Amino acid sequence: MFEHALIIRSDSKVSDLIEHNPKLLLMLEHWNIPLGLHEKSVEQLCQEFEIESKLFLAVANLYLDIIPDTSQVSNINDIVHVLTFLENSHKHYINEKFPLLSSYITDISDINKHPETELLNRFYNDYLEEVTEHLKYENTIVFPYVMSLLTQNGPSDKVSGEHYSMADYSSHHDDIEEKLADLKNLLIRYLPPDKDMQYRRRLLLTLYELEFDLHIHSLIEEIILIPIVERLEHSIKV
Amino acid sequence: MESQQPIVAIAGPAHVIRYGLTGIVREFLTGMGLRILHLNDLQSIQSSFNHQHISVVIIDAAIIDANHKNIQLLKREHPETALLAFQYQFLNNTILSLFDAVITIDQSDSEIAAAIRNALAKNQNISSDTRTETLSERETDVLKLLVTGLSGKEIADKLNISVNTVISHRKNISQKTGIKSLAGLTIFAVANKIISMSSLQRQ
Repeated sequence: MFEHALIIRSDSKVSDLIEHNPKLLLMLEHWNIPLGLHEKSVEQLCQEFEIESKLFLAVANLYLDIIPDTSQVSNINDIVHVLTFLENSHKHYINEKFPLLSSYITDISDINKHPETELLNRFYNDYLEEVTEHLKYENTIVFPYVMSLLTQNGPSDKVSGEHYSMADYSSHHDDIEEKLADLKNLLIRYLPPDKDMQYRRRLLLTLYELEFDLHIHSLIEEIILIPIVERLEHSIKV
Repeated sequence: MESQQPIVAIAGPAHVIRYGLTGIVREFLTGMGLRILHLNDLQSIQSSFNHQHISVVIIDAAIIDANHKNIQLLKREHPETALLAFQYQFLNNTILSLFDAVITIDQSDSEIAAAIRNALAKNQNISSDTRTETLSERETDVLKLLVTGLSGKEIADKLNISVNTVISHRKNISQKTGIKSLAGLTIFAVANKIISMSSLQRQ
């Protein structure tokens, strides 16, 4: 029956949802919700962890490729948990995904002695540097700015002076997605083979996971976070 | 852009219709990496385009008459988006002519899926079909110079072509290889013996 579940609702059982779509495990992790879910529904879990259920549902449905309508996200208020999700996903990339990717790249370099491997190595390191830079930008500029909007004082001069624009934001994301796509393509199509198949497979599967998580990440920023920020900015000005 | 999955938007007030169509897409068009966007009305559609490109919009007949202007606007501003009407009540031909195709409530699920698939084909700009490793002689020349670090202007001067021509060669190269970044194209060029490692190291 569950194969045909089309949408996640507040009375859906979270354990069923995970069985249906294991990618949601990472969503729970990004919100610090541990397993041992028993038969709890979305609503019950949200109450227990004090997460706004509208937010939970909007994000969970993104994992099913259902992008919420603007009217469904415009009344989300739980900015704290939007930020928790985004900050924890950064930690996940930095502490888990990137070291794993780097170790696979090293494995491939050890085995595959074609000159292209050295170039691929460099390509990956440049990519890593670029993503890390973007994550740092979000951690040090964007998130503190959003938090400052939440406190009664509004943004301090220091933070608001470095205000970001949505256009900048999206172009960063596009650039990062583009390089990741290139990396996958090079591994699948063009890097000459050399007994590195298992390593390449592991690297690719990890890249697909990262790509999916980054995709959800930027959707949350563009569809949920930015409209909330614009609303807050407006209410402070008024 | 290529790595983004095509989006099918379903617009209309009736949940039964939206989720019914979603179910058909899920069941018949899996593996195409489609994303589905639900819209209650057409007013919000313009803002949806700010976030992402929408490949196909399916509009519930119930809101077609009232949205004549919105639909015309949509067609004008996003000519590459395919418009599908979901029909279960009378609609006049003038309005229907705005749509790329009409699906009706009495069609089978596979017929409806086929109509959506055809609509998607309308804007498969960079599908894997266009991908080929064979670059033209001119494209190979441009690629060689690109990966040795020359600017568009320098390449144009060297090959006696305009900067715009260089740009369009570069676009075609990326389309054919599936590689967009310069660093990625360098690896492609080495792997395809278009340029040697030693000539790169001389840079």
